[in-house]
Amino acid sequence: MNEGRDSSLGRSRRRKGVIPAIRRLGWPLVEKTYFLGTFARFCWMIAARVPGCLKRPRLVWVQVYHLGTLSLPIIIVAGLFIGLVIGLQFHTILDRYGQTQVVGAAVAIALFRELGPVFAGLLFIGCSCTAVTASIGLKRSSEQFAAMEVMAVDPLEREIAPRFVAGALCLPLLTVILLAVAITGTYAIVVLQIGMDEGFFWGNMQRFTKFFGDFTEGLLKSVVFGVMSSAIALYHGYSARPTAEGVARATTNTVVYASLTLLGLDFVITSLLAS
Amino acid sequence: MDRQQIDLGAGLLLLIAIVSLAFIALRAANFDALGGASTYSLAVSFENIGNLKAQSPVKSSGIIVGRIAALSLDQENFEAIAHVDIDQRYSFPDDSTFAIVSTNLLGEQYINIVAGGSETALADGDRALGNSALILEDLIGKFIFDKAAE
Repeated sequence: MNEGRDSSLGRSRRRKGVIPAIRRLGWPLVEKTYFLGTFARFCWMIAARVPGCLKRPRLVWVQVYHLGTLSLPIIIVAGLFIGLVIGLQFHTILDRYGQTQVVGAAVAIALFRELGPVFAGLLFIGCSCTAVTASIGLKRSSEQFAAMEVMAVDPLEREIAPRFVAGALCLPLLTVILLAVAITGTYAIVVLQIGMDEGFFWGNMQRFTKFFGDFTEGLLKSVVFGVMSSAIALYHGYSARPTAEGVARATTNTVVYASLTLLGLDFVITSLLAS
Repeated sequence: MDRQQIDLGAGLLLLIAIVSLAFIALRAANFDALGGASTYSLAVSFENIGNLKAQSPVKSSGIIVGRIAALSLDQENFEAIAHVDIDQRYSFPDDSTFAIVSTNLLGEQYINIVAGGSETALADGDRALGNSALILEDLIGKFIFDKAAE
């Protein structure tokens, strides 16, 4: 294990050459592959316990309250400001070309297809997924799961699966709410404040926006994001080191991994649907 | 956590989500479903309506007095019919002129009403004759044809 260390000189020195470079590359690759393997196995374990957890809807309902209802204020306030700022920006740009009448349509398409699901997903990760990771990490570090196993209660079915189902259910609901509030925000700034004609605003929005197309594409994305971010949050909480630093690290990892995966998946889904 | 509070909170989330979904669906599918002002209908015939679209405003002296409810083609004389809903607060003489004009050169089109001098006002279900839209392509074509003739 001392291949990178020159013991005779008593100081570390990196060996040059192709083989040591491959070796140095090897460990992170093995580590990531291991992470991917354990994550896939964890997802499979959750999926296998979802039917059992659905027999106790009360457990899911409690998590819907914690993950969904408690995220409502941030989703509504963020949605309003997103709608206001996008409406203002689109109006300023389109005004140069005398095309302000399509502001409603432009904002609706941008929100339905991309901004709504992505913003709601990122807010959900920051607000709810971190709480999930911290709570699961703390339960694990205080050996609550071990105590449940002693009592012949499956912690994956009682604690993990309900959070997974609730997370996958809540994000689409929160996305729909964010979209409605954002469009109301755009209406407030463009029609009520700037004075654009209401008929052009709603008429063009309906003409250019398809419910079964633009809106459902965004909703599909939010379902995928909900499943993915919940699984990542639960995995990091479940595999956290049983220390305060370990739980803190797991919470940070949840935000980093879930946010980057969300943005990557957004591109993949958009590409798939576009083709 | 209190069971009642959880039920109330989760129910609130579902209720807001359903209302939001209905709002998006209705706004994306049918504008008139959320309208409510009392109106009377007129059918205005045009030789060519250009890019006029349903839900565009109907103005008089720059003030919005109604909206275009629907557009159709008269199968007898092959004229375009714009079915307009005019706000009950406004009445116009039956010799008023209906013209299709644009907000700007490339902008959206709407119907402009220039009030006439008749004593009789237009009533619900009346039919009026309108001046057709200015078609940019026709103007360019005419200009090129005139230049070629010179």
